[in-house]
Amino acid sequence: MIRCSAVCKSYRMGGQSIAALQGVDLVIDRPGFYGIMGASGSGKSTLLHLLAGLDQPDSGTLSVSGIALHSQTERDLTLFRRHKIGIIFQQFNLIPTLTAQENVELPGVLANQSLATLRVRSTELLTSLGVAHRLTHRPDSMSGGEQQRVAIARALLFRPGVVLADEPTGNLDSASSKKLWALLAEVAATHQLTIVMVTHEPAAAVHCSRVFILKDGVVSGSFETEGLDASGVATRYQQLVA
Amino acid sequence: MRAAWQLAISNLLRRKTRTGLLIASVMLCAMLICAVACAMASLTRGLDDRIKATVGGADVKIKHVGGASFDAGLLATVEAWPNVELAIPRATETLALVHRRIAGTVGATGAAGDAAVGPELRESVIGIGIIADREARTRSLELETTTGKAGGAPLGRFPVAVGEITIDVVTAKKLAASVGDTLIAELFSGEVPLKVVGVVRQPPLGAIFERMESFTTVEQLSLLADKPGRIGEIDVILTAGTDPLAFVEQHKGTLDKGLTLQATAKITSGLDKNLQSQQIGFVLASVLAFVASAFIITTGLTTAVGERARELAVIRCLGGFRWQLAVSQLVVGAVIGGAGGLLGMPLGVLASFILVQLFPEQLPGGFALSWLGVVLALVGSTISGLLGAMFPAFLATRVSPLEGLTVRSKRAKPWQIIAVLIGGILALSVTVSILTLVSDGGTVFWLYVFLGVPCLLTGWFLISVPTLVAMNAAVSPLLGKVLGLPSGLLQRSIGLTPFRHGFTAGAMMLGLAMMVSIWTNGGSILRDWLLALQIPDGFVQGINMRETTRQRIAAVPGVASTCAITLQAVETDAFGIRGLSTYKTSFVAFEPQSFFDMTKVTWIEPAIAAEQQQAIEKLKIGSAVIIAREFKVARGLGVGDKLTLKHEGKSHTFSIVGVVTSPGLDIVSKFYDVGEGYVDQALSSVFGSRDDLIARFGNDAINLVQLKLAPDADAKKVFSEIAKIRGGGILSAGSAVEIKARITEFISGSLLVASLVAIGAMVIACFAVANLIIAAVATRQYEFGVLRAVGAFKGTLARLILGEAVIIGLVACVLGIGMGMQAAWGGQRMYEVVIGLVLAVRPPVWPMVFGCVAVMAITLAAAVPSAMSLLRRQPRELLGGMKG
Repeated sequence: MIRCSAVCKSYRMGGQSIAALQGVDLVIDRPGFYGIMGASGSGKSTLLHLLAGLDQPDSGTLSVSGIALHSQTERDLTLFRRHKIGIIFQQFNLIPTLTAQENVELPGVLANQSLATLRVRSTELLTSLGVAHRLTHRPDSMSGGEQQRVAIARALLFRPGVVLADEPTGNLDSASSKKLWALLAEVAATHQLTIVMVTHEPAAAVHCSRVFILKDGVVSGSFETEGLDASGVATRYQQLVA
Repeated sequence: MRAAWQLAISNLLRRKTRTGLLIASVMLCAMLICAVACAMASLTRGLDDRIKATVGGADVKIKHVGGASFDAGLLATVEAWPNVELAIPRATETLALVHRRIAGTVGATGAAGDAAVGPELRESVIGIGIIADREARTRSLELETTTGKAGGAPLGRFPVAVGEITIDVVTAKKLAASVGDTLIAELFSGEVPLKVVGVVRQPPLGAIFERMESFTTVEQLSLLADKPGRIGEIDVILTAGTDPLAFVEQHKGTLDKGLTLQATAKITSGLDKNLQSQQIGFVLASVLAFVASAFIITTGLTTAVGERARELAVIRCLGGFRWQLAVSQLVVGAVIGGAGGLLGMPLGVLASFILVQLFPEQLPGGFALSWLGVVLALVGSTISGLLGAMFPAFLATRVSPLEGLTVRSKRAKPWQIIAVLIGGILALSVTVSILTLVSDGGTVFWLYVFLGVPCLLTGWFLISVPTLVAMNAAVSPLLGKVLGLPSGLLQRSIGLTPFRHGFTAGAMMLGLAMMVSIWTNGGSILRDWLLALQIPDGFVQGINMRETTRQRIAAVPGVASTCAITLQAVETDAFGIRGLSTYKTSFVAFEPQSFFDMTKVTWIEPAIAAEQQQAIEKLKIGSAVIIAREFKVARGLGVGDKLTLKHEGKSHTFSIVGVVTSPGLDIVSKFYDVGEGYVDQALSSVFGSRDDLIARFGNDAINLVQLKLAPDADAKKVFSEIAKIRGGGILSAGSAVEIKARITEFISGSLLVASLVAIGAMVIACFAVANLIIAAVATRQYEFGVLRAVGAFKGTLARLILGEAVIIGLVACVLGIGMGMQAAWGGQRMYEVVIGLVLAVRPPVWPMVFGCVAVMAITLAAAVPSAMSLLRRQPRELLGGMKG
């Protein structure tokens, strides 16, 4: 599903060039819930943005769901984001002027799909995620946890093979966060999806089947979390970044 | 497309207040345009009715070129022409009517022995001699009714015999006369009693032209005028199928010199041409108004795009194409514009309807719907919305998914400020170049209208940003201290978004610019042209005045000398704009030596006194004219050049022997005008001898008698004595002082009315500014929340908003004055190329002060609701603006 080979990406900031990724090699070839951990500035978000087709690498090859992102046109990347992946942001990023249902349907509306079909699908998703009672509500009348569930529903509209989540619990309390991690794991298992979550929290990584560690712009290692708790994950993490 | 539509509508409906404010500004613009259009159409209908009432249903008309009378024997000749169904004679003279209401006196209403019923009443009226049954075939003269309303019994009848008179309602009111009363016609030679046999309604717009009319038989009027066997015009109804133009061609050569034969359609064509020019001018003004409206929408929607950058970035992340975001913006613009037009158009129609009900005398034709105004209001509003949305649409396509998500606000880069400064200067340079480098008047006009004015608007709009940056640096530190704000907060706050603040100031500048340019040009016209005219001491105006009339005037104590003058509107190609409107010129004819002896003029050419006298001698010889300075300014004509003057198919080329400043006889005649001046507008003058005018164009009528007063004469007393002269064709008399006072009153009144329009523009901009300030507050909601969270008082935030409004207002004042002065300079150049007027541009201090006060007040008023809203909201609520 996801293959990165020698991916490099740098940015200019304040007149200086900052190498965010310096040759990332990463392979995920099975559905599941995966985590990417790393210190602040390690390149986690940059890698996620590249995987989402929001940016393109300076060098290297990068393919998601069989599509070589490094050689796509802007139009192709837009269609890729619409149909092939789902994105869950840290700040939910729901459109404030649309209801929960309309937010979920938005990618479909952009694709000019039939409203009736979209309505059925959006209702089904919101119900399965436990926010059916918020169908006609706007974001400003929902809690953070509810908003994030709506964002998950939106990401799943087109049944993508890959869902990318950028610190999805960054704006939630710990109780809501735990529920959300468990939900993501369940969604990955139920729908046979590949969910890749960027996080810096060991408590989040516990719910992942495998965690990749990013250090100084490269993948310095990975480990499976089966049998580990949060402190175990933290210990393994420290070992790989040392 | 559906996605774009859904995003647009949800955005508009969710932000109802701001949507409403933008729609309101477009609505007011559309309402104004539609109201003006319908008012113009209503006025046009009244003018049409008047033309029909005065020109009548005749096919052709015979009259003297100068309005003098001619032998009534021509009537029989005309009736004998083939294809003539009916010939209707008419005569026109001035009548001095008196109603004596004291018992026992001749003509008294009361019987001998009755008690006195009131003082003697006198009025000068236009007397019209008619043959009543023939007149009814061509003109719709309506008798007043006994009830004063339509459907009532007619009040009397038209005169059919000598000794009878039918007066109009205004004359009846002023003389307190009605059917059965006897009025006295005062003549030089004595008095003639006339019995009132009927009261007639005034023709449309009669009140505006202040003409009182009374009707007698043709025979009676010629006796009263001491011109037996003379008439003033003959209307001719042709047999069915006869071509009036061919008829004119066939017979015009058989008439005596001085008489014209004209198809009546041609008479009205002058009005049609003027109305067409007015319509073109109206369309141009409407286009400019909608361009200004588009700027307001651009600013509002651009701010909204900035505010919604994150939202737009999310849509891009989810797979939205750039074009979908762009179309969404265009839909927003079209809806705002379309809604504004749909709401404003009926309000404009209603406003015009109410105006017609309130002023029935000035708008006697009743309410007329202008489809041009309706279409302009609807289509113009929608197009201005679309145009206004184009730049925001472009900006929306530039939103990068990554940058839109990660950066909450971007600081403007210095090169961007410099770029708009350069862009603004370039745009203004285009305007300046057109006005200074292009020499042909017509080219200057059209280039200025279609390119110069849009560049003027755009240039000052762009310059608003660097102006704001400069004002922020200069004023904000001090203003922040005065408002008790933390050091640097105000300056930093404004400096973060100079484009938003600058364009907001740009939206506010237009009303002030209008006021400044109107008062600058209006003041210049008054000061440099009208009040600078060296108008002679006084004038007497009338219809067909004779030499005996002039002698009676000259005999009044205090009158040092008199000069008989004929005014004739002639065609030249000197003034106006081809394709829009051209203006006639007044040929002012007199006895040269006596005119220049008594008239103060300043010679432009020749400069030497001896040569000036030679020029006067050449006028006596003939085929020579002296021209007003405006000819030299507009067309570069001077001594030695030739000028061809035309009238009713006759033309003659004159040699120009001098250039002088005009004594304003053409202006004077407009103030006492009894002619149908709205049909043919005449500007400026050429001066020649009466002999020349008679020889070339056959006009020997005396329209004005110019007066020179003795140095120690009491002007008031002199004119009081002149007013007592009755008959002899005198209609009115006035002094230079009185004329200048009336000019000043008229211009000042017009400027005040125009100022209301400027204030209206400021109010329109107020809605836009309020929208922008609300949007700005919404965008910075989180920042305000952080400020409150770290300890800022809520009053601090409110004062910050008001401080920003002060800076915006100050920038708007600077921009408004600058743009207004540049527009005034452009207007001055237009006056120069179109009508040859040279005006000085002097800043009008008090209107500027008033305008700036209005701008500041309106800008602060627009900011108050947002400031109050911030006062009411808790920090948590402000911080919650981060949600989603």
